[in-house]
Amino acid sequence: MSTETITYDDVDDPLLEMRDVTAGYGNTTVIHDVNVTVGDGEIACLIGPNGSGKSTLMKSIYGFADVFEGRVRLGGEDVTGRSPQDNLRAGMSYVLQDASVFPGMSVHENMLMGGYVFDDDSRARKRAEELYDEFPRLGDLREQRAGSLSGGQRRLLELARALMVEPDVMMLDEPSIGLEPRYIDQVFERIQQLNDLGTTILLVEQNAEKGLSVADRGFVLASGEIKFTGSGTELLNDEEVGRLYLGG
Amino acid sequence: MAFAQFVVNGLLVGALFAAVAVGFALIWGVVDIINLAHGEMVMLGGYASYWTITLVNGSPTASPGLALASVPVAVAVLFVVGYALQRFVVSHVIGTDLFLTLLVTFGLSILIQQLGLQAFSADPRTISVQFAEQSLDIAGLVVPKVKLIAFVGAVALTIALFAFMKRTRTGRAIRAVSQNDEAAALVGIDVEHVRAVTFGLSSAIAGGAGAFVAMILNIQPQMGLIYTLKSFVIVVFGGIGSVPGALVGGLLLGTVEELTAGFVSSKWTLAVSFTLLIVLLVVKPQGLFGEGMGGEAE
Ligand SMILES: Nc1ncnc2c1ncn2[C@@H]1O[C@H](COP(=O)(O)OP(=O)(O)O)[C@@H](O)[C@H]1O
Ligand SMILES: [Mg+2]
Repeated sequence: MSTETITYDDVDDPLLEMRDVTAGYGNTTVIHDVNVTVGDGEIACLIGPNGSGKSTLMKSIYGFADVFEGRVRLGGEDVTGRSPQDNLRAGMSYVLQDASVFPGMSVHENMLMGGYVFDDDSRARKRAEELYDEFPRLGDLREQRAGSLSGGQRRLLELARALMVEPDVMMLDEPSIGLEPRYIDQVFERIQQLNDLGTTILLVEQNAEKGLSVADRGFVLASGEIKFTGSGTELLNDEEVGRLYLGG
Repeated sequence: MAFAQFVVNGLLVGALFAAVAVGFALIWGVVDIINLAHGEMVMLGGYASYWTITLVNGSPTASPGLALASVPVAVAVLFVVGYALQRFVVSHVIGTDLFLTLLVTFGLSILIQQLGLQAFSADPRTISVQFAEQSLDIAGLVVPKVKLIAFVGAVALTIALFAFMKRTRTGRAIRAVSQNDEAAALVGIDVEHVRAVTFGLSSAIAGGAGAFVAMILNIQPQMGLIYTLKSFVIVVFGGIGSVPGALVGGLLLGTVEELTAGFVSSKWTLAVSFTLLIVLLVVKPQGLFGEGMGGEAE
């Protein structure tokens, strides 16, 4: 790639950057010329209608979708097309929109799988214990088969498992989907807590108002293109965004 | 007494069928492929052992020690064969439709048979294992020592595979891929590599069993089909994706076949096995232990 001289936006300390990314699967292009910048320590929220390519955008960062053009950078380093192993080792983790537990394994075995990229098992075991202290409800379930968890418990496991690698950056794809309202608030509290501890978060959220209200920065994706960018409050108060995407 | 003798014979050889079927079930459960070339892995394992012994001894006659030493050779060779088959051929049709995967593995089966005929000729061969006394007499039942070794060997291979799946990091990765391959990739597992290792392990256990088959029966380049069919019966019978089911199914199939051969005719063994399978599928479609066709392998 040629050297970049253009600065795209006003982020002081960019951690995660997508530059003119066109991506999809095989010969299907889903997102076009996407530019997204998330600053170190921020919460960024991506909203947009179903099928607009939000999940694909995250997958293109993580190496789950094919990046046809453009670059993805993390901490200034070009990480385009990098494997999930390398992303995890470099401190990036991802919670998928779809159920991603191993149903036949216990909660504890699932947690250990979250530390699969560690070379030694004892590190994974130690980290799992730390997380049980942090999430006592999960610790109580450690021997339970993941396939028999409720939706809320499963989400908690997925979130905790993604914390096994002590990520600096987390991508969360619709963490509140399908949850009862009381769990939704807990999930957002957790996200806020993690962020307070310094974790940078990229969030996709169906509940756009909820998502934008915790976000430092928001992006609106429609038909695979970024239509609006701004701070969370700017987007929440934007008339057009409100009319088109917030149902207001 | 004849009945007891047939049952003993059946259990002895049934352990081999079980080991072969466990390998077949492993690929079915993890990679979601019905490998119609699985029987050819048994055949190749038999030849790997046969030629190892022939190279060392100048003839296919072996002491028990040498015969046993040829088994790890067959296991290792077939691991490599299985790994390569998955990586270079089967991986390209995974996730397409069932018909295509059947066609590809069927094609592989035919190709490997033909290559076997070219390389080894159609002559049946056997490894002759030499003991001072060929058989034990246990409470009036004849137990050929070589069959006893094959039985113990087959059980050992099956247990080793279990232990590998339970205790090793790769075993955990295999279980993860079988339960949710997207989640496996998410936590950093190289799914393609794990599938190939699974194929390798499956072929390795079939190859190890093939080495024992060469010691107690004949081997021949076209012997594979019968082992694929037996595996199919056992795995469907025991419940798809259930390894304990495959073990029990194998012992049962061996016993049924020996009883049929003893009391009716050896021509009827396969027909009787399939009839029992059809009856079971009508009565209990999910198999003895399984969750049924397309059930989650765990
Ligand atoms: N694995 C895939 N292969 C091909 N197309 C896909 C795949 N996953 C998603 N798509 C397509 O990409 C488009 C965007 O999907 P997605 O990124 O899941 O949107 P969102 O998360 O915004 O709902 C949809 O049209 C969908 O059908
Ligand atoms: Mg989505």
